[in-house]
Amino acid sequence: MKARAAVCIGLAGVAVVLSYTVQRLVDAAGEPPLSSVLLSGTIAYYWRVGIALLHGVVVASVAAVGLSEDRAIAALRMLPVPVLGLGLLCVVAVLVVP
Amino acid sequence: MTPVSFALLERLHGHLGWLGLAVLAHPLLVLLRGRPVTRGTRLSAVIATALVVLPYALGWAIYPTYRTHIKPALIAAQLPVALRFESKEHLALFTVVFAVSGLATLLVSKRPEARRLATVLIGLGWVCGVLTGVLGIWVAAHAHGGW
Repeated sequence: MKARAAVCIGLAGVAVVLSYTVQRLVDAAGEPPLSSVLLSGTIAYYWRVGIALLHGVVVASVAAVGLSEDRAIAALRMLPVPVLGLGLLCVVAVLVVP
Repeated sequence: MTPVSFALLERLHGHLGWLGLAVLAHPLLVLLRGRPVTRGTRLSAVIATALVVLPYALGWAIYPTYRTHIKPALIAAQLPVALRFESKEHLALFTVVFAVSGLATLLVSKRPEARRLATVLIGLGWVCGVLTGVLGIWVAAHAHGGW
């Protein structure tokens, strides 16, 4: 039970960061240059964070339902490496594409 | 929000953020060195995470004022600085998410595998936090010059 909870939390954390980064990259591809916008009607940042949190909850819920405790222990062993890799990739992405 | 209350909250936001990172270094070092995670370590992780979340919440509170009163002038006068602020706000979210999920992982399971995952999450949160703080100081110095 506790290993499964740890996996769900770890996956949720990465899902939030990944979802936020992908949303930002998609926005950046289609939005007008920052210097040409005086004031946007909505605060895109708040929306992106809200949607990313929602994705985190969904990923954690799916993992909680789909993972047995034994599988969770196996997943917990391999999770740190992809979490580190994806986390650093997202950091680089938001530094390169502000 | 008045200019004085904005300036006050902005400074609190920055100072509390650095304080949170300093406290977060304690559980991170304990985890990295492989020392036992005691009740005190868990407590310092809880306090550190609270000290990371609080300035983030302050940032949310002052953000609407920033975007109406400071951001347009910053974009017009110093676009590269405004773009660094955008990176800073993305990294601030990452800091909070990694710190909170690292703390939660540390609290829910005492398995060594969970400890390794918590180390990675808290470590990522700390690195993102330092980048956020450095960018914050750099942007603030450009947005409010010395004289």
